[in-house]
Amino acid sequence: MTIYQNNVPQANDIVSESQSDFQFNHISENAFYGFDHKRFNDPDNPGKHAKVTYFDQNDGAGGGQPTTTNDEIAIYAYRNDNVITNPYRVNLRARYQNNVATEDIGIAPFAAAYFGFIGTAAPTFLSYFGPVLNIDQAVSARTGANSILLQFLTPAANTDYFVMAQIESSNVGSAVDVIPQVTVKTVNSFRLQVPSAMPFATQRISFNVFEN
Amino acid sequence: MTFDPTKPEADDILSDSQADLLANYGQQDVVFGVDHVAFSATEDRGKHNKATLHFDDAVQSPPMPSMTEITEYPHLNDNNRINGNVIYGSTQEIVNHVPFAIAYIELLAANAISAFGNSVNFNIAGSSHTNNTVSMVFNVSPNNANYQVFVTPGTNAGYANLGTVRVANQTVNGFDILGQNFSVGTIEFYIFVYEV
Repeated sequence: MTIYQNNVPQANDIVSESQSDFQFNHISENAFYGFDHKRFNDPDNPGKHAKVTYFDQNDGAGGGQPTTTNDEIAIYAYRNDNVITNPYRVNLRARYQNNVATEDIGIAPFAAAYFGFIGTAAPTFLSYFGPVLNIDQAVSARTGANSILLQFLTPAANTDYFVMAQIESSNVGSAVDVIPQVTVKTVNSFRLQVPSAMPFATQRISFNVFEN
Repeated sequence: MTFDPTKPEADDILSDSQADLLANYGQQDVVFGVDHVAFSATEDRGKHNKATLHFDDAVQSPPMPSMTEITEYPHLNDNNRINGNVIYGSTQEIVNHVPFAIAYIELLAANAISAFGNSVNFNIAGSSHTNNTVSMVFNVSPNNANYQVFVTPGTNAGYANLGTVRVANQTVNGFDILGQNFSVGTIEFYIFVYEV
């Protein structure tokens, strides 16, 4: 017996026949449940999650996007359709539903970075300090005095993604306007642009990208 | 009593094991029901009500999902704060997807700051402002100063020109928001901080 037996005991079994099935099922329940959860026999926190592993619902074995009712929200993983490999990209998404519509949004950043610049002349490659998620560091670079190309490793599913961007600059009193603007969005890259040149070496930019 | 996966024993007779079996079934129902709709519910059995991520030193952190998976897990930072992280299986990239700190603040004239709005105040110990600087202080510090900050201005009752709103002076203790005319009228800011 190698897999969980969900049809034991049979009506005509006697206990001596079913005992091993009973015990195997109890052991299996404890172990399988324990993959993501604190186990049934955990003395302190039984039933809570240690982690939550989401299997791609766009994989052949997946069930597709979840079906929800009006009083539910479903968190699920779904592969970006544009690129299957190099690298495989699974997004964490939420499905909201109400009486009007069903909406799906990305809830974990699809791409993210906290970066600054190595020098002041273009093209100057970027220097990353914090998270670098799904950004091709070998290609992303400053392409002018006020424009920064950020290229995805795995393309976005479409160009309806949204970008949350913020400058960090301690140059108090600088005349430079450094609010980053998102321009030229494609499935492969986007640009962050500022109206005029800035002293890059002393400034850093945070961004998170969420797929729609 | 905790769940006992060793029951029933091979030489048990049903009258011996009945209490253990009953206890285990009951325990399965209770434990599964902590985060899920319990087995014994009449509807929606097996669905989640919530997912409580409990950090445990004994559990490998971060986990190692396979290529077709993404895993949410709790991450303990150096200052005893549990963060919500995700790790992508294909690349093992990690990103914090639950903000480390959130604030919704109102800057009032005369350099005062109103009570944090709508109880949206997470891991912010205090704040103050002048005409061109808002200073935010964390309750629990991040691991280092390389965190991400996003600031979005909200209602600006004084219709002041805020100039370039930017983040400055990031340290493990807090950060500043720079601009101008912060002491004119009532100005709102929405602030999200993500730890590395």
